Parts: sequence; structure tokens; C-alpha cells
Amino acid sequence: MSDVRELDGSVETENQKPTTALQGLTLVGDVGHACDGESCAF
Amino acid sequence: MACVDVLVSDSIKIDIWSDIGCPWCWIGKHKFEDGLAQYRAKDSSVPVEIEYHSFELHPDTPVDFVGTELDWLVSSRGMPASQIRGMMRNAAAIAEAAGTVYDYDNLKHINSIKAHQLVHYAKARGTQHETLNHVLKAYFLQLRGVEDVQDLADLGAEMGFDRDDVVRSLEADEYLGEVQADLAQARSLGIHAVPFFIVDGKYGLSGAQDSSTFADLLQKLSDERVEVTR
Repeated sequence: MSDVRELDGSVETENQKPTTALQGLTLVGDVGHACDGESCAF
Repeated sequence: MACVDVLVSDSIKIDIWSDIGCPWCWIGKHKFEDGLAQYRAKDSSVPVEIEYHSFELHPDTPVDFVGTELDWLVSSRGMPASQIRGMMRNAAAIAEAAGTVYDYDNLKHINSIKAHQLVHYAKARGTQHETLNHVLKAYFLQLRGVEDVQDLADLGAEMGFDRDDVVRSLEADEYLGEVQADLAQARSLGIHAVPFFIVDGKYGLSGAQDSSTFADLLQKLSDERVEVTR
């Protein structure tokens, strides 16, 4: 299975924006391409 | 003789927050569905239940804004056009690899609040997935309008709904409360970027993940649900 880790703060990879802590969730995989209110991390 | 009892517990539940005019949601949906197909090809013992939730990336977009995503980002966020165009080319290449199209030069930047309401209208009538797919294809593949009530009513009618009733519902903001509830739930969970997937209420997947990530997680959860007694 892909990388699985507990989210206990921000997660950031080279091309991505940080994902702030998500209540009680275990993050699976990399932080993939996503859009937020400012722009899309193309 | 060996006896094998397979006990399967509840279905795997996947909640997905996404916006209509969101390229990574569109691309991520293709990757997710590919991963789901991979899982189902190997193991269909545990069903998967999928529920989509509304997310608004640009609630500040005027409903009469006329322009592309590039126009919007340049005018509202002050980003350099050359930088944006390069990034969009990259996204278009990833979309193509995922089996779809991201026509950033011709897609209109939208305020999606009414489109989300149409999806909730359909959800209340048991066709959320089909209607969401229809709206997304209209927007991304056919470059049709998905903001205006009349345009959305056309899409609703194509899904078999009574066109006049769709107009009535959208003009009355009948499902605005459901959209706002989805947005509030996203905020309470700390979701600020989409697509975002929550599986079984405990696993989070952020963004357009590889299809194998979805397939592997579904297989893991399926294995956990199936108890084999010999």
C-alpha cells in the first residue's frame, strides 16, 4: 500500500501547498495536485 | 472437507469533496474511478458506496464574470499569465495521461453555486452520480455553460428531470442549505483544497492521487472486512 502517515500538522511536498491538520484522519498517499481558493497547484 | 465462510461487513464508504470548475477534481475523478475499476476487477466482495459533497473554490466569482481561468487568476490574484499558462500546460498533459481533456484555453471560469444545487437536486432524486457526471462532461468536454439557471435546467432536463421544476428549484435556492452544509463540514474537517477523499471516515486522500493509491487502499479495507474461517 502507498505511504500512510498520521496527520499531526502540515504536510508539504516539493510542488504542493501544505495540507493543514485534518481532524482524526490518517493521510494516505502523497499530497496530490489540488486546487484551493487561491489557485490550483498545477 | 474444508469449509470456507466468508463474512462481509458493511460497504466501504467514500466521501468526496470537489468543485465543478476544478481541473484537479476532474482529473482526480478519472484517477479515482480508474483505481475503483482496478479494485473491482480483482475483488468485488465488498461494495463501495460513494457520496459527493460540494466545495466552492471561488465563491467570490461574480456570476456574470466572463473569462477563462487564466483571465481570472491574472485579474483577481495577480499571477503572471506566462507562469499560469506553463502550469496549465502541465495539468493538460496529466489530464491526457489520465484519459481526459483539460482545455484551459477555452474553459470559462465559473461560480459553481447553482451547479452544486443541481447536483443536490439530483441527489434527492437518486441520481447524484449521473447528474454530476453529466454536468462535468458538459463543462470540461463540451465547453457548455454550467452557471446560468437556464443552462443548468437544460442539463437537468437531459437527465430526465422536469425542466420547469429544475428552474423553480434553482431560482428558489432550494438546495442552497445542502451545499452550505457540505461546505461547513469541509471546514470542520480542515479541508481547504480539493479534490479530497475520506474513506471509511478515517483515511484522507488529498488531491489527484495515482489510481493505484485508491486501488491499494480499497483492497486493504476489503481484506480487513472479509473474515475467512476454515
